[in-house]
Amino acid sequence: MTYMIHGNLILAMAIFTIGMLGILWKRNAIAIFMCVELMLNAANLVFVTFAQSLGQARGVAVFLFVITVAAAEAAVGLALFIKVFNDKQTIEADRLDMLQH
Amino acid sequence: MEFSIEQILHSLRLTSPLLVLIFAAMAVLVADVLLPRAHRWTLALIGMAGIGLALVALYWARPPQPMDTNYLELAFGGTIQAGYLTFLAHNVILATGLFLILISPNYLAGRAVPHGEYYALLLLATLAMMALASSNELLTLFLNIELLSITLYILTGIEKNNLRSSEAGFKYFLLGSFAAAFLLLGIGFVYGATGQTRFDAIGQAIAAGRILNPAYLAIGVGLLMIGLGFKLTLAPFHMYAPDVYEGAPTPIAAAIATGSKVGGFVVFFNLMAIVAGWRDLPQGLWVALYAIVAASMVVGNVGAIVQPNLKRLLAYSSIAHSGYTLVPMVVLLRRPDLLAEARVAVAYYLLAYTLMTLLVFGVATTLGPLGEGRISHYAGLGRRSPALAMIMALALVSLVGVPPTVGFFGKLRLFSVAIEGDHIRLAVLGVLASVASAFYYLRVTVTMYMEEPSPEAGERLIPAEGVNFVILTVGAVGVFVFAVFPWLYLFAA
Repeated sequence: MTYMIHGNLILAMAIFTIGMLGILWKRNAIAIFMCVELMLNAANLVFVTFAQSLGQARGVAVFLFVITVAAAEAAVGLALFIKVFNDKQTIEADRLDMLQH
Repeated sequence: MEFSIEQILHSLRLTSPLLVLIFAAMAVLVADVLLPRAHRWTLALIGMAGIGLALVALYWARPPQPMDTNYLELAFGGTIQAGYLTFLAHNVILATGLFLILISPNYLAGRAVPHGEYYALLLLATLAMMALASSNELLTLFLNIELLSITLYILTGIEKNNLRSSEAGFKYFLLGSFAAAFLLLGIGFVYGATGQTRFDAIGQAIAAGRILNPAYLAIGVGLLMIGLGFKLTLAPFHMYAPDVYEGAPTPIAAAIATGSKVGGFVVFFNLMAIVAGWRDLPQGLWVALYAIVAASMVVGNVGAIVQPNLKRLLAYSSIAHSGYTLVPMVVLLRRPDLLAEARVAVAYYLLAYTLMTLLVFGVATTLGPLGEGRISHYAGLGRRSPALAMIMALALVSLVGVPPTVGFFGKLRLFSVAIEGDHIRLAVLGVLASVASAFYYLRVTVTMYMEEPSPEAGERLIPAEGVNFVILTVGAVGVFVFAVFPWLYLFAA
């Protein structure tokens, strides 16, 4: 049982790290947002793992809430991307440099 | 878990200010559809009425008198709490919401901003700030942070035909959702380490030593610090703040700088108060928070010196002030016995910081496009608009922390907690940082009074408009009133 918890946590940490590195490397906003989703789902995996090991339903309920919030966030994010794309014809994060200049 | 009718009614009463704001936001949206040609003040008036009713509800459900700083009541199965700090934070947040709605109509005139959505989202953001301060459960904390963040992403990018607004919303969204992932992972580890999600249950588990795995708890608390650190713009998680403040509409930048941070500070304080009960708290957590606070004070004050733009300067100033506000929380990790003093000090500084920052943003909003640009645009303001320049100068002097203003007494309370709790070096660093901050705050004042206006700005006199002028004056009076009579706000010494 302990072995499974640790295995799951290592997997979740690996996914979280991949997402984090992706955000640092990727420039396209859609790709960055996909990496954020990867990180959120890694966190979900942590919740489900602990819910399993503690024998509680609470962790699984958290996961359902997070999925819903992520969907709402995606809707707002994509709307902002479209707005930026209409203005600048690009959503590459490093080509947006109006501020500070 | 079972609920009796009495419990549900009690919960509804404690959360009534939040419920009122939900209905107010809906009312604004409905009115926007029903009255397509409404005057620009109509929707703002509905929003103000909503905030007024929420204030009434807040005092209907207020803590028993005389107020006890340890007062705490739980609602909805312990997911929502009403306590001393929460109650005071609710007052500050509602006042902030009212202030922002009052200065918005003149600012929005002639801008491509949909009014209905703007006021409805501003009310929802106010609601989310209050709910964040009331959070007593980890999942509730996450949902409230997300509600606040999502409304603020939209509000930041709400202005059409304004590339800066779009870009600010875009950057805020990407970094905000990145931070949310850290917060969520931290929540996961704290849950895994204690088997609890309610703050009070986690606190009992920690105090009784019922920790399933101390390593998970340490990782979880560390990740929570990072996740909330983004929201509170603590160094080194502050990179987005200057861009977002510069690009967002000025009243929204004010909301991000004040109200959203007030909610975040309260929840951060409550979390640290729990963690402080951990008998063998890992040294690393205290060192990490110490380093974050010291870095925020240094980065904020050094960064502000070179900023040519007023809103960017305010962003760095708010990073530094986040550092000051967290000083009692660092002390708390080592000296849990100072909980009551730390709570009062933080509560007082929430008001002080919000009041001073709102005044500066309020003047910038009143000046419109002129106020959003470079600091050099403020040259000669002392002659062109003596009243606004005076209010601005007063707020800046208070931000430095000169007596007898709220800024001085706020910092005095924060740093005396540090000295009482044997964190003298942190207090000294805070005082030195405040002294250094005089340089850039007073530079703005010097620009306003001593420099000749640039040809583009002209010699034109700027009339102080009615409503804006009245509320700014009220705020300016508050800078002295709350300094001399702190009990008006704290309800206790």
